[in-house]
Amino acid sequence: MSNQRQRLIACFSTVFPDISMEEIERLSTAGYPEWDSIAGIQLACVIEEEFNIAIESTDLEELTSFDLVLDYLEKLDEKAS
Amino acid sequence: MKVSQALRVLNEARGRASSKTYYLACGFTPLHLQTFLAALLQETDADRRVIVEAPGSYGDLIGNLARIPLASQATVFMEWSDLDVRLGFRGLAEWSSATTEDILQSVDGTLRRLYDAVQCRAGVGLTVINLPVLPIVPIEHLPQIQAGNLGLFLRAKVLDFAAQIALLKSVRVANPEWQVLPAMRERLDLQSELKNGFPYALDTAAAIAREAVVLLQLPPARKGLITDLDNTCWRGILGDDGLDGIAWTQEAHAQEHGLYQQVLKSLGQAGVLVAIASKNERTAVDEALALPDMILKPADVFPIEAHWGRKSDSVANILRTWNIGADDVVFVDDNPMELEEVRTAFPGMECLPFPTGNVKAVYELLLGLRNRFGKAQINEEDRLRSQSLRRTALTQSEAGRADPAFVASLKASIGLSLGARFEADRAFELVNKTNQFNINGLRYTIDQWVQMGAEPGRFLGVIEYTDKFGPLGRISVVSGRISDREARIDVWVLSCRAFSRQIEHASLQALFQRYELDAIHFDYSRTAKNSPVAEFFAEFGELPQEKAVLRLDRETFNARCLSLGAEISFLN
Repeated sequence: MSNQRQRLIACFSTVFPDISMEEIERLSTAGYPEWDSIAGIQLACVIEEEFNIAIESTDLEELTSFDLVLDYLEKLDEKAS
Repeated sequence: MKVSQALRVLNEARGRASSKTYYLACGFTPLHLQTFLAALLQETDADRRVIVEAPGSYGDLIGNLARIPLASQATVFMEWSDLDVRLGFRGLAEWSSATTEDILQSVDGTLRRLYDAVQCRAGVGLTVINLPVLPIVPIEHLPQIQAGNLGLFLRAKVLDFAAQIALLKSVRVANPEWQVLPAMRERLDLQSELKNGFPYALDTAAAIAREAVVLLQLPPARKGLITDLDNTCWRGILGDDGLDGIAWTQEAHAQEHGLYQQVLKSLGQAGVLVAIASKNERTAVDEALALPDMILKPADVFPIEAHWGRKSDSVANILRTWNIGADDVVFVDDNPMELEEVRTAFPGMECLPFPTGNVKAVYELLLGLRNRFGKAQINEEDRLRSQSLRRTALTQSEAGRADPAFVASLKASIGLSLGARFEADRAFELVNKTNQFNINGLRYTIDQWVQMGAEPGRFLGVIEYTDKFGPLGRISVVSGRISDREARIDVWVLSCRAFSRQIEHASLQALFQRYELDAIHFDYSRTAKNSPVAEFFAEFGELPQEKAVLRLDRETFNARCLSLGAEISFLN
């Protein structure tokens, strides 16, 4: 498992402590009602703190699943390098 | 603190069986402020899970506050937009001098309604008020660096509101001068405000949450301060330099010592016990304190230990006279050896150096003393405390303990009030700070205290005392439940200032009489400090065990009770 994926799972686990690692990797706003707008803001905050990035509000609206967030981080990494 | 850190703190406490709920009232989306507040409170509570609830809806600060249970601990965060929506960023009201007058009138009305909402909670719950910390919207025509009419009037109105609300019982207002916050221009997160209705930058949210937690959990004020004299209350050594050689004034470039005396005097007037422990001849100390421009006067200090014996012996004598524990006392001395000696003899006592010659450090000391002894309200008992201790010492030295003839000569009158409410007042304070005459040492939160008042059959008695030397004020609290001509008392405290006056006996006699009781039961537990209670019960039978429900019937009480010299009256 990549370091980035692990760190992202830790971020999700901080905001959604009741979910297992396996469930986190399958998580989406559609499938988990507790991932509401407030939780989404907290999640964005935690991710920004962990990865030292600033997520644009327009991008945040599109980040509705674990996989989409991971893709987003990987693309940011590619741009940076 | 970061959001991730705060969430982890809360996650760790998730599995705990018991919880404690606090409340947050604001007009914006509480979001990260609620998280930070909960996490910071959680860090102070190792046993329970902390929950912070923020009931209500966006834009309705006053309504949200009204939804919070009265007997609870609540913290209120107000911002400019709560006072008038035109002072926020989420509307597009006209920003011009034409609307200034209307805005100011609107703010007046909101502050009046907010005052009423807070007043409902006064004395019942604890309310912490946080004044606006964000910049006012750029409504004025002046450059930001120049104070404008509207901004100044708004701040004046808020401070006036704060001054009024700070007078209410169990209301604490965050001091804007001492809050440690980011710079003004860093506090607002406009993007977050517009998108989420949460106006604070994260650093600011964490900072105001931290300040609110400090205010919610102020430690109990210390009770006594013991001070040295040489190079502490004055510059110089009295024995070496004589009366003319000691100094504490601006003219003598020793003002910092005078300021220290001023603070001690002020603390004494607020009910703090102040005593002197000095290695000096007593006569020399008396002469020094009698100097006309000495700020600290003999009436301000009691007792005075001035001799050549060990400082720790002086401290021991003072503690005995005061009848309070070392943990409740601060000792101040310029001499590191004396400080170490007292610290070793009394590990629980805080020993502070007086930093002679370092004016900046003296200022920090004065602020530190205010923080250690500060209390929300000063009542009549506080003002009477030092005088009453002097009288108690006189009473005990003249008569020994509870000599009936002497007690009768005091011409005492004891007033028992049975109509008191269970609220955050003198009775609540007494119950939570009295150690020696306390039947079980139990402490109560304001929530628990208020809930007790709702129990069927529950009574609350507050006892006042006066004798020929003057009033002691309200010095005892008794509470329990009555059923079938028997009372079960689970709260009974008596201030140590009031010992040796048979007030305990008179209180029980009054209860037997008023409620026509056949017996009184006491929920007794032995503590490290309540031996006076055991001694009292020993008058009526065997010494109690560690924890027991003691029963005292009317016949036994009447047969063994000393004949009381005091006149007892029922105030309601």
